[in-house]
Amino acid sequence: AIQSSRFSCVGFPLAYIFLACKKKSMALKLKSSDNKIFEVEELVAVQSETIKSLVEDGCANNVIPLPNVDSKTLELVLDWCKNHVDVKLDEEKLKEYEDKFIEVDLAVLYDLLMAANYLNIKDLLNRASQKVADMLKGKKPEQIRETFNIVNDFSPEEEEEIRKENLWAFEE
Amino acid sequence: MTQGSFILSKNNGRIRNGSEHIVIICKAQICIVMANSSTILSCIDFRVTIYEYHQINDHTTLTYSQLKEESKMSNSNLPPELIADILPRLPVKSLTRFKGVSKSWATRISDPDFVKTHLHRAQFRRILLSSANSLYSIDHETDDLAAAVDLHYPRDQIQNPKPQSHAVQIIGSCNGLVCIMPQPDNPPVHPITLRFNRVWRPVCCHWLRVRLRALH
Repeated sequence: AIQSSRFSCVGFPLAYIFLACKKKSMALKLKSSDNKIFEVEELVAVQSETIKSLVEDGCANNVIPLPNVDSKTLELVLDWCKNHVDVKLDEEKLKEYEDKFIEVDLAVLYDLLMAANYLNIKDLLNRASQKVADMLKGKKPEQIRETFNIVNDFSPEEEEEIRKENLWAFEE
Repeated sequence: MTQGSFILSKNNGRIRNGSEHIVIICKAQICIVMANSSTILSCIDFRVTIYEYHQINDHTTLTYSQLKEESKMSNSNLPPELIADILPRLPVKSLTRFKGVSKSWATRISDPDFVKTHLHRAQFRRILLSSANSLYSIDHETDDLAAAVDLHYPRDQIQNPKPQSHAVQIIGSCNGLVCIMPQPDNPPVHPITLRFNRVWRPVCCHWLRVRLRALH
């Protein structure tokens, strides 16, 4: 009995400190490729699986460098994360937000895709990929090449052959 | 849309004033404009519209409007894993068309594993209907018959040898493949037939020959 009471004596303040830390989400410092520091709440930042594993490994005490993300993109990404901390809040509002968020041109979308991939933010990656797919849907092969800087390695005969084989797909 | 005007002079160096046309190089866009008029003979970028054109002595004032250029995906290519994530989200028709992008795209799109991934992603189940000479695909969750999609299958290929044969019969479907059989005008006297049927595989765009034993 003596031992157990001793335990609870020591246990109480420890648990208290632990809880206090948990509740007050720590602020993390993220550094973009162009050396801008972003201070964000841990709850926001850990939506990135990459950052989450850094936090879990105890490597997030100093500034976390993100050499693959520029400040413009990071700002967008963090905005997305802030709005996805509590997904259950208002589904309709969230959808509205996402639709507006993703309405960007291909260049920005490209940066978002790369950042979401690097930071491993599943829902953002999913939404951005879907947006790219929607933008590509109606394009012609030559427009795809232009968009992705792909070199056409078909001979004109081969290209014609593919077109002939799949005429239905080339119709408007 | 951006608008602007620029004054061109013969000595500018950026334009070549020929007797019949002027070549304008502006913001990496080249247009050839007919001298003394605002008609664009040819333009590398057709999004430029020239709507005013004054020529006073050696100077030419040109007012133009330019639609916002559609941006490109920077200069770097998307990594393969991201392209692999994007492609399965595209409809079959787009994918078939994109086989003409490059050899690697063609290989990727025709790859059986890709076809499987694409199939698993397909969210909609649809009803297939065959009527005279046509196949329709209908979303069973809508009542709107106008939403029926006319499926383009190569009619002339399956209507061999009788091009006038009418209906197509749907034998069955499995994993996005539809097996169809042209219906002859005069059904054969013996209902038991042994024939090759063809399966149209939209993603791979291959005909698969299937030996099918007809039921009684």
